[in-house]
Amino acid sequence: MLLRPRLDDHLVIGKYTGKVIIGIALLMVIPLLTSVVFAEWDTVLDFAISIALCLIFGFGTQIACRTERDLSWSHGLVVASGSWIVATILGAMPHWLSGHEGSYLDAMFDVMSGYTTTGLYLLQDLDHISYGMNMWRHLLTYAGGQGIVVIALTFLFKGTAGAYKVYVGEGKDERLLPNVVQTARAIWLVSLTWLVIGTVAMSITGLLLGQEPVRAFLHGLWVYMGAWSTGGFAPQSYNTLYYHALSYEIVAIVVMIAGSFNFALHWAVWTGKRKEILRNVETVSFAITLSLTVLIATFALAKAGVYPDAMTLFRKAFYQLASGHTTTGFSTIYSRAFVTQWGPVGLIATTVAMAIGASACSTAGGIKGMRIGIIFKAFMQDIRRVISPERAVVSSKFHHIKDVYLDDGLVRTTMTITIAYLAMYGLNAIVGAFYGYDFLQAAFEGVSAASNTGLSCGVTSPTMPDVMKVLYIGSMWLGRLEFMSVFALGGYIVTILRGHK
Amino acid sequence: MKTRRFDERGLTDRKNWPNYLGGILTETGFILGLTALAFLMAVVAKAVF
Repeated sequence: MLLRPRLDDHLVIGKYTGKVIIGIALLMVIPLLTSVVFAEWDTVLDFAISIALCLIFGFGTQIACRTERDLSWSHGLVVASGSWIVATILGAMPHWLSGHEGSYLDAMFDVMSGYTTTGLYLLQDLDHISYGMNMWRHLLTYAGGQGIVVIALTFLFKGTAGAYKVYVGEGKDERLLPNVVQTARAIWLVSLTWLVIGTVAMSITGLLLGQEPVRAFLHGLWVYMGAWSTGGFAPQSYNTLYYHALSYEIVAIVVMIAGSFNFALHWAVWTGKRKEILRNVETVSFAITLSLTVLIATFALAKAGVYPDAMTLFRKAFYQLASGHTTTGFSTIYSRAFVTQWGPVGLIATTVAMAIGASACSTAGGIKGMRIGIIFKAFMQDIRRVISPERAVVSSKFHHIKDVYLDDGLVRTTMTITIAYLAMYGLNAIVGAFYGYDFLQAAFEGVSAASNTGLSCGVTSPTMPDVMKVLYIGSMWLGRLEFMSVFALGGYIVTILRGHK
Repeated sequence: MKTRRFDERGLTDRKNWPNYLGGILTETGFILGLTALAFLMAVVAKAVF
């Protein structure tokens, strides 16, 4: 029997959702200050209005939802998924006020794409938006990669018992350190250290390519944010093709692959367990599937004679595949080139790479290398069981920080999430085909949205049907939060409507 | 080489940074290894076709 939530349940959920929205308001101060520096007064006003709305909501809920009760597990899941929706609705305000969006739905699409580190966008005339707006776009994706809740955890939550439940709800369920707030801080340490290194490397590269110092710094910072968060936003409409430079591409590849690593792996390697990178199930799985998809695309492109020499072939094939597999979404080819030059084999190889994705507890999306590794191990275990004597005990293990033995519960959970991803990929492809898009292109774009990648073959545009925009918004959200917390929010709504007192 | 035991009490303690830097270099080396492998594939593919 479903029990209807009590007033106290609503209060605790409202209170913590409000805290996350206050965090969003604080985040908006950075683009506001950027616009002040560059005297973009229209953008300053846009952000001032948006901050005011977030603060009214955030502090309004703190006043209206006074309670001493701490979060339960189900509350944590509901807050994690619900706060992303509220943050998207309120976070879309600066986009909409900028006048660069066709509708509020388009603005919400771009903001959800940012938070979920997807990188698809409907914003128009990207090359002429303000510095403040560009800062906001990249901050969205950087904050989303860190986890909005991780930000709130670090600065706004007191105590750790309830906070951990929201943290898990956001899909980051590994404790790097015994204390969850310290874990959040360790995640920040890794990200900020890479921020300094990545921004300096990209800024220097930009300077050497002839950019003005301020422009080189801002582009370096923004492209770093897009790469590290595996978000794929870039300040120019040509994305990273704009730079036309091998040096820029190599730095971007290093940052986006590093950004796709599990934070627990970073922490293990950073704290002395160097060999972990060669033993971990996620990095091994990633290296194998990336190499296989690159191999297929490289040979298909070479056979078709698309690129004149080995260096160009390497730069184009590896960059797009690394970007797709890490679910970043950076590209150095035009969107339509996936269709007109890469052909079906290249399109399928990239789709498979995006569908698999990178590591759990990272900024990346997709099914995740850990799940691919577990399914492969379970498959091999079953084969060994079939060919072994009837009484033989067949066990299997994988390595992730420590050796973990496979059990039926783990395999079942892994399969459930994997099937949910595959179903969502399939649904997006079918709906795209229903609206008249070529099935392969609809599958490519649908997988790109649901795996939070952001590579596009031209389907995503302001003129696409609103139903597909809503579907992609939902897919990005579900894919980023890995279903469970969204299902919990759905269950919460059902109990409000149909539960018994 | 024996690595120093990590002190989790002070995340940003100065004595942790050589270890962190070693971690960053290890990660970068792994990524550049994958990049070199992809370049080799392109060379072979161009030689074949």
